[in-house]
Amino acid sequence: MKKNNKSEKYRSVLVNLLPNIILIIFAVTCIYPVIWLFYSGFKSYDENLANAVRLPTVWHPENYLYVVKETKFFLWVWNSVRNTIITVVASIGISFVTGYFLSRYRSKLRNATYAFYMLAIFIPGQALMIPSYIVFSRSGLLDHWYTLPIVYTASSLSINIFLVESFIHGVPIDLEEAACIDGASFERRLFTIVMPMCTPILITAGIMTAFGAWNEFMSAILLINSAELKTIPVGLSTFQGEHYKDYGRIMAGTMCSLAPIMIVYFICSKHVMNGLMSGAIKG
Amino acid sequence: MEVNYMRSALRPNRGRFIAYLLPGILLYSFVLVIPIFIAVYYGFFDWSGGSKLTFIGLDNYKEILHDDTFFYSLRNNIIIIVACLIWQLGLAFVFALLLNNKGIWFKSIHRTFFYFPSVLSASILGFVWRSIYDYNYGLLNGILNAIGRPDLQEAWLASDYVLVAVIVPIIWQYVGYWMIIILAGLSSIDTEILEMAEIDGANGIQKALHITLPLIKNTMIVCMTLCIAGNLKVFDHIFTMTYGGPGTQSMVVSLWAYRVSFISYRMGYGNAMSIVILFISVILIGGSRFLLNRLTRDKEIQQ
Repeated sequence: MKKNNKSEKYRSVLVNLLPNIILIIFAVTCIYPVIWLFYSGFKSYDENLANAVRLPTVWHPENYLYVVKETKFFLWVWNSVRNTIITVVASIGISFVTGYFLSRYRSKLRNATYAFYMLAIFIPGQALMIPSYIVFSRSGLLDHWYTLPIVYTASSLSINIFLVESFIHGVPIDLEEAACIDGASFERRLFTIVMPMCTPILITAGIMTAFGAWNEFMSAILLINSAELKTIPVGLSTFQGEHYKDYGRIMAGTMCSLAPIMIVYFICSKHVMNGLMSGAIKG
Repeated sequence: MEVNYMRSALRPNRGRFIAYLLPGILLYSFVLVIPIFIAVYYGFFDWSGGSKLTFIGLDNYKEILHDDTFFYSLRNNIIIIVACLIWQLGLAFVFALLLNNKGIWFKSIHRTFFYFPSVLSASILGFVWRSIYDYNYGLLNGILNAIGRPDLQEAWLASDYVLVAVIVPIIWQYVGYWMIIILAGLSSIDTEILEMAEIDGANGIQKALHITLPLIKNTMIVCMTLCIAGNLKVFDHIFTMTYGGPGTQSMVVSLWAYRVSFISYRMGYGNAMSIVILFISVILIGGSRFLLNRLTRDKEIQQ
């Protein structure tokens, strides 16, 4: 029986029209606030007041120039970058090794350690912020370059260890046994054989940890005081406080704060999507 | 079943074992475990953070029981959680289903765009939406003006609608996040089952509710648990959008504990509140997880 391809196609378009429209509308709402922020930063104060939605009639770059030149913007970016890199390296390192041991061993001690690490998933970090502040303050760890990486690394361990541990369950131990027979040391086996095989999950964990560390706000506000160590969210908060009347500047400042991660995200979006959907997060 | 456990020949010696695991355990304990004990300790004191420390036993906890703002904040948290469970997960499920169909255009662009807000900082998005809601130059009032309804303009974050206004960005930011997780879960469903149901005459909604949803039950339970946990913690959005205001109308527990400790300088009271919040969280998260598992298990037996 011949299929009527044309009417099939029309029917398919019609049936799917509503879903497509809904999806497109939501996609637009996801991106439009940022676009609005972007072009509003080019408007003068009066223009912002007059009409919020329209594109600027005259593009004033002063606001953006101000943010880039007159504030400590690049210092904030550097602080965020540095914190994030240290956090990701430390977190992946610790959680890989810990996840490996938790996956390969079976004992009561192993179960206790696993449960110990999983506790933090049920503990809301915000509830601990106040006593955390006390701990850091008493041990003189406040307001250093390593303050935030310590917090971020520890906070990311639970999820990362969980991911690594489940993943390594599916990695056959035969390769390690073969290598052991051939005389390879434990370190050699762990880092040159097992670790490369874990690349997918380590990338997923790394991406999630990086985003978390980059965007974190509460600890950054509490534990850091000096202007030289402020991260992007904190810097923006200060900036907003100083310039809240200058609408154009506020838009430009907020836009600049979003720019780094936007750029990274859209360039790497394919990798990010693949990493996330590789099934590791199915839980 | 393949056994992937290490036999003793492969094991490194005790020293190595400890050396590898200790740093992680120490770091984790220092940042996440020790503070719990600290909070318990200082919760029994009246302390402003300075040198004057007065033991007052359970008075802080008694005061929390009478703290109207605390309970109002808790109410707000619960409203946020319920709204997010319905809207974040609901929309995420619907969108995930839609995106899974044939005949949908721009699939990978949609995935990228929907997920995009969740990679941004909650605090910065708070500032973005504060700008959107601004009475003078905000996008929302601008749009209302443009479509000819300037009478609907409000100072949204200072109005009675403030809680709704604050919930919208929270929902908006994470719909894509859950959607990606659900999509990953959907990919494990065998399409044959859905095709058989179609042959039997099931329409889209029936397929979704009676076949797809039960099959991704575990994913959904994880999502619900994480959603509840995450919204109990909500801080950044509220801090930057309203700071709990106007007054205390949009206050949430984490922000109230912060203000009590660092703005009112009542560290002892704040610590006690942290412990109470911790308690409530464990009960809510653990309890909901237990309940969800229970509810869905019964259905399976009935079928």
